[in-house]
Amino acid sequence: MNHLGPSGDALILVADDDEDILNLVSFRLRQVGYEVVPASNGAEAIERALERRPDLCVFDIQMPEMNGYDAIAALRADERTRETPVIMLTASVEEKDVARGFELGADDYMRKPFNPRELQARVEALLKARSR
Amino acid sequence: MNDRPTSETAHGKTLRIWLGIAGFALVLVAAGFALRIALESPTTPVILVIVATAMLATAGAARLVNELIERRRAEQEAERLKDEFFGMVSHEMRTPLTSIIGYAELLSDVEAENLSEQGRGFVEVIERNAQREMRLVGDLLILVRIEAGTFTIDLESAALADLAREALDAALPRADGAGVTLSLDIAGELPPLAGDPHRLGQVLDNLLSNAIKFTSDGGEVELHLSREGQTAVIEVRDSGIGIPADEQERLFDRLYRAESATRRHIPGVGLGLTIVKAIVEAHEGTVSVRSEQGVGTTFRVELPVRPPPVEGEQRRPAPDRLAQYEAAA
Repeated sequence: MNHLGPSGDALILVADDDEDILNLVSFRLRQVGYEVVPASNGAEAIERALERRPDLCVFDIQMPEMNGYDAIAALRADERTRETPVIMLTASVEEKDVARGFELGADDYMRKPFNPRELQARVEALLKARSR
Repeated sequence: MNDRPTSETAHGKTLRIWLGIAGFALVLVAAGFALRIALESPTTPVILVIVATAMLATAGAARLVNELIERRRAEQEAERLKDEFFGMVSHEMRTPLTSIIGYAELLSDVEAENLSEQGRGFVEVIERNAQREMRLVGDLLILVRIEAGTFTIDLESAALADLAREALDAALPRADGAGVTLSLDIAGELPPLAGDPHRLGQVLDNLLSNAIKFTSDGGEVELHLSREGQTAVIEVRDSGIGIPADEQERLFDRLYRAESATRRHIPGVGLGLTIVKAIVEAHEGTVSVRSEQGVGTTFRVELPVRPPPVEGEQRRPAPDRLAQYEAAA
């Protein structure tokens, strides 16, 4: 197993309306040492993000009460969270859906189903790049 | 024939009202002129007939234009609903599979010591089949779009040589497991061409996968890339069991499986080549096969070499972004 060490006590916000996936991702991230704050929809994600100021956000795209796209836009619209790196999780195969996320300000994406280890690697890479 | 649409854009409604008013105004003006002339002229009846015809024609034309606008709007609405439906189905089918694969991996990773050798084997079966299901879902969704005529490709810059190397790497484990030797031969310079890298990758994966499936232990599968004038040529040659002549024509039909495949219990549903054909044809290319039973099979894909679209349309930033972080780390 090839673990990249966590960058200190980074706080990750994970938002997904599917409870099983939310638990899966949270578990995997905590396993490598991150602190995780979960959210079940876009509205809750923004609320938590403004409250806790995470170092990175992982957003599912298709969520009720504000989808991932709107959540990314809301994040970028607020100066407190404008610079927070965001990774999108999407079940879509359409390039245009991924492109839309990038246009709104996402930094990276992963398609579902995703390899949790690959997600860890991307989280690590983004956090490292930001801390420079 | 058509159901009354349930909603109408404000724009469409305004347009119809204005068309109606314009038509009516035209008719009034025509009537006014006609009356003036009629009251002063001996050819009144003729003029009245002409005017009446003009009025009818205008009314008819206005209705026709109206009808066309209505119909177009209904079509666009149906397209949008279809896209939304496919998006939803894709999401709904992939979400539980994500958890099946994810938790099976957790079992193997986290609970490994609590599982017996047999238990670990069971988990591997779960993972393998979940992956299969995932591929099947992907293929089915493509097939549905092909049938509906909404299957499209995104034209970007496709570097066939890189795609070929990736496809070969991905196929190596399976080839090794089957005792089949894989090789790649690239003849000359192949500049990036206009194409959908994701879909072309699928074509390569599919052809390689088939070649490996139908080749026995000790056999060979070769992937050849070359250029013939303005055509890029991809050939996948295997030394496998071959395909009888009468089956070769139906190979690309939906759900068709070679008789030998069923007989030899080679897994597969028969969607692959239909999708390969659809992708190749969407690129305005051709795919063909030549084969000899007991000797081998060659699938040949020809793609037109056209310059890739301008920089602004380039997508797929993700792999590059990751690479840039990794390189600097």
